[in-house]
Amino acid sequence: MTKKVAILGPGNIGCDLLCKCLKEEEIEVVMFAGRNYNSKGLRLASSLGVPITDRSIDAIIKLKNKPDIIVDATSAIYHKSHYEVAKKNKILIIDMTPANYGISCCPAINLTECIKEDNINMISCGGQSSIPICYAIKASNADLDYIEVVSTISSASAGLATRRNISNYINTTENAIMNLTGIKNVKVIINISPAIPPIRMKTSIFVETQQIINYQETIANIKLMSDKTREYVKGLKNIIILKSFGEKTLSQIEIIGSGDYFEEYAGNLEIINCAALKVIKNL
Amino acid sequence: MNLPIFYDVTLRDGSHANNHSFTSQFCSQYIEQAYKSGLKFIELGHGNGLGGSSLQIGKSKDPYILRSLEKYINSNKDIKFGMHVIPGLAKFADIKKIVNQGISIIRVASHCSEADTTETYIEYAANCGCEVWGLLMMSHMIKPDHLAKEAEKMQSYGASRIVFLDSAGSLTPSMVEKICIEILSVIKIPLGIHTHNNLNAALANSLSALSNGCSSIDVCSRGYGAGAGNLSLESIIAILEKDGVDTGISFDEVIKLANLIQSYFPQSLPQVDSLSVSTGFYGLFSGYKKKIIEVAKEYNIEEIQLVKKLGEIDIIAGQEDQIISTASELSNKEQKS
Ligand SMILES: NC(=O)c1ccc[n+]([C@@H]2O[C@H](COP(=O)([O-])OP(=O)(O)OC[C@H]3O[C@@H](n4cnc5c(N)ncnc54)[C@H](OP(=O)(O)O)[C@@H]3O)[C@@H](O)[C@H]2O)c1
Repeated sequence: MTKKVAILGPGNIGCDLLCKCLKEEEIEVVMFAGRNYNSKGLRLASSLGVPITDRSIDAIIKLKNKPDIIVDATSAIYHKSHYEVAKKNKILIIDMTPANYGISCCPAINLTECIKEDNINMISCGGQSSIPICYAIKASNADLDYIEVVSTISSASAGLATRRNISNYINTTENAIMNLTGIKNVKVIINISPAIPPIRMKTSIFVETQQIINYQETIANIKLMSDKTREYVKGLKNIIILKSFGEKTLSQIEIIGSGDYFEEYAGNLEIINCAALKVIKNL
Repeated sequence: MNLPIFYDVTLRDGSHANNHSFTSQFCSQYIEQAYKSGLKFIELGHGNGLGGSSLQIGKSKDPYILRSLEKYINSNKDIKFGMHVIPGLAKFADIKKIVNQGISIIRVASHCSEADTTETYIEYAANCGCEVWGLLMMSHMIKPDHLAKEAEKMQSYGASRIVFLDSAGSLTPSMVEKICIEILSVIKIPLGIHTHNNLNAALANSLSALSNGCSSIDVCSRGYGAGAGNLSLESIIAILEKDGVDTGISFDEVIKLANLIQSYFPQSLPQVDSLSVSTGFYGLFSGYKKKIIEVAKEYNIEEIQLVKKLGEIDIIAGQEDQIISTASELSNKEQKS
């Protein structure tokens, strides 16, 4: 059955998701909604033959061709009100902002639980890339009680909403890691790099060396969870599976984008959008 | 020249030198002596500022240091205490906490070209009732007119002072002059400078900044800071006093401050050694020096090779994990060839 999707927020995330949805036969994008006709994203959508509006969610709920799903790719502060409107109109909402409001969803971990909800939060790019690995490390080392996640994304791919949402990003990602892995203390760091050529999205996961009790099993588990995540994010690449440097041990990955909207460096857009697509397909 | 603000960052930048191991006992002794010297501004915290304590950058030995110093901070009304806040490391709740502990100056810092990441943080800190400064780090990495545009953004978000940081110790006095002219031609708020001594130019750069309109300079006793260290407080006071400026700061008392640092940290006093000059020349964040030594050793590659490669890929502050990835790539390449 075709899923009808409306995308709200024509920025970097919204545009990349639009390109990805248009490649899927089972998805119909019924509207691409922004708040300003001059936005680059709305012009792109219009050139691709997708219905557009500058009246945001108000136009979406008036559509005759009613969507099953609204994807909120605006900014964290708007999400609560978007959710309320969607709920009133009985439309499920998938939240790409770090609003920390709906159920935290990492498809490799808790997809079945999430698709029962009417507000599904896709956490963040750093969350999607790290959670399967954090989960794997914790599964092999039950007493692990501290983990740290450092992600670096390119400046070119970080829209204004992303830049305004940094504190929300840290909160939401830390909470989701705690809730989905059971690790008590979590620290999340995000870097935005202006390097030219742009840097590929990279995530490093650090733990204290002394907390890795089952080294070989941890490696096997990281590989297993990485493969599971690769089922829906092909570009996930393990650069360092596990390596100790004195008191700290790290696992490092890169996400290679499929080049739908930005070039392959934009793994941050790739991973959260692939995760959202996985949810949409399973609804 | 108007009398500049001497903003003392020893207890923050210096923690890079001793692996973030200042104790509350040392800090309270330092603050007491700083007060006697006439200093009015002191920054506290981890080398990378609020939220910096991490496996990535280095854990603070005492994460509750501010709590131990709280009474001290609040009873010392003549000194304003500040903290360095980088969005990406710290979150709003962390700011709220330190404001409740008596921190009254929040220096919100971003990489020089990414000022728009500071917008919500500057607003948040201002709403907490703080004095908020906007800091542009690694300012050698973009052209002065671009730097000026980023400074203007921070002003529009509500910053009451801009400070540009030569985080790599890579600037020269004539570059500093150009930067001051460009930034001051667009902002209406005061400007300051933060220097590092990699090219032995912290003093010359700070003097250039003062003669080109800067009204605050960051200082460290005994230059105690990351990498090759920072502008030495006692040197700048000596020079200004000799030139007839009444700095309001007692030279004899700041010498006691420098002695305090020397006696507590004889092993980690900053030096302008060959690696420091190299990181300055190739434009790497000063705080990376120890990581470069450690990682080059682990991967059995030459330090200078790693420094050059990191410079080529435009590494910025906060990317300690990139030092590891780059070293790993270099050593793989070497093994193949
Ligand atoms: N970039 C990433 O790496 C990344 C990764 C994961 C998650 N996220 C999250 O995804 C969201 C979007 O990020 P981004 O990088 O794509 O930012 P962006 O480029 O600034 O995109 C946000 C878009 O939403 C629009 N918008 C804002 N409020 C709206 C409203 N009420 N109705 C309709 N449109 C509205 C903006 O329009 P105007 O141009 O008119 O303001 C803009 O086009 C953020 O919440 C971010 O935290 C980003």
